[in-house]
Amino acid sequence: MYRILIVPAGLAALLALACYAIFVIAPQEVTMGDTQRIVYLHVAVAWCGLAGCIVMGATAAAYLARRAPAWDHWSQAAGELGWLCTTLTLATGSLWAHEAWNTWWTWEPRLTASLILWIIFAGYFLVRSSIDDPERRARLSAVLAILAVADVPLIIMATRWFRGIHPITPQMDPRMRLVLLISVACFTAFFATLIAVRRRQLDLIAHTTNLENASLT
Amino acid sequence: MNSITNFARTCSWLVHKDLLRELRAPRVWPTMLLLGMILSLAVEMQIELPRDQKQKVLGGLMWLVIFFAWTVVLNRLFAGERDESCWQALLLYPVTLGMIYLAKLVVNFLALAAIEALLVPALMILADVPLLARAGPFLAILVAANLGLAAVGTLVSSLTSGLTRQASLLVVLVLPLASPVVIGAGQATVALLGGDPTSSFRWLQLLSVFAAVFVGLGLLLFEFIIEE
Amino acid sequence: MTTLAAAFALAWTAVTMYLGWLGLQNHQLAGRLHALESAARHESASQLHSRAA
Repeated sequence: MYRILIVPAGLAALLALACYAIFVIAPQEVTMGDTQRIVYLHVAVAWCGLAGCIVMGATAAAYLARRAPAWDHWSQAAGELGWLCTTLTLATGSLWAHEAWNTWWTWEPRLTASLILWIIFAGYFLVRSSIDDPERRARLSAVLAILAVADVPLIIMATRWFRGIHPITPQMDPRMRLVLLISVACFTAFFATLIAVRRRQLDLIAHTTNLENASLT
Repeated sequence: MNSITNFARTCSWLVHKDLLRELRAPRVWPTMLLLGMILSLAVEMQIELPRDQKQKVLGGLMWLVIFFAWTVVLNRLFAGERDESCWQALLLYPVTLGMIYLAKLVVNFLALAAIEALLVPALMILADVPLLARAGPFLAILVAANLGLAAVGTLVSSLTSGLTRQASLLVVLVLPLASPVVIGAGQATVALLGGDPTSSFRWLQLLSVFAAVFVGLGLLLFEFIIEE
Repeated sequence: MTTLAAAFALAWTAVTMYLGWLGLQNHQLAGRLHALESAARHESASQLHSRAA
């Protein structure tokens, strides 16, 4: 009966570990103080957003190859979490930028690329919401997902050559590097689990819809 | 060898069909050209800057104007075949989907070329931007950018052609996907105007990579969009 | 310090909202499955009834 609590407990443990690392293990930074700890969260969600986009594209390609609805559900779930993470990337990045550079926004490479990625995700979900037929929706959004993933490296290249004040690899205290690693690992595991949970839910929703349609005929 | 000439002939026939239809009953190209003119005038009037700064800004903004004028044609790219089962009739001909994709791509390319043919002289005369000072590199930028835009645009246009919110979705989808081209072409033009050919060449490389990737992707993915 | 708190609060709120939305979908799904189940039960009951008659 308590098996249902395994996943939530695991997720809570991951978050607890990440927060412990960020707030306890990481040393206080010299110039910015405690606010610098946002970086551990920001880098983690930025990576998760990008990973979500890649998973969305890869599972979309799998869908086009195999045509099993489960692949489309993986794609949608990864897209949702990727979009959420990209939103958080922009938000945390903006908060950090306000402290570090005294500006809420600046048109520099990674921020611009993240914003473009966010808009691409938004377009993906707009397309998804405007098609009713599940097969057509899966197919067209799969194509869009593949285009998005192919585009991301080009967007990053273009925006990187455009301008740059975003820190690339700052000199990091080894403890900070460790905390960064822990944070990225924990949040990746956290969001990966959420993707799996959401995918399962989408499977059930599709199954229920099939049952409803079958009972109508 | 025979199949290549066959391919080329079929593609040119498809392009010819589209262009002829547009010529006989002009719907979108005049609007596109006019919109290009209006947008570039509006942009140029808003910018009160000394001459060399103005050149830089306009070199980049020109590409945005080209893009938005072009979306007028992009919206109606696949609409021609919508009436009277023209699309089904087309598929009955011995044409592969790759041919159709490339033909639509060429039509897009020509539309972009038409806007540029209008805007480049206009900007040179009205805003004193010496776009053709280095004609060779500039032409290369035009070709690469047009190819990239056409590749992405054709693909997304076919994707949205059957949807209800087609027109509004199209620009929302294409602009972010084509942002490397719009940014890249703008930067390449600005670099060229500013006398920085090496920087310009680097951007040109990005544009070429984009064009190559997306033409390839387009040929791969077009059949998945068109499944009836 | 407040910026740090704001960032974490934002992340926490976003994830909680998403999970809440998932929970809502679960609830709707449960409703649909319940409706299907009662419809199926009603169907089989009326079938038995008509067969008995």
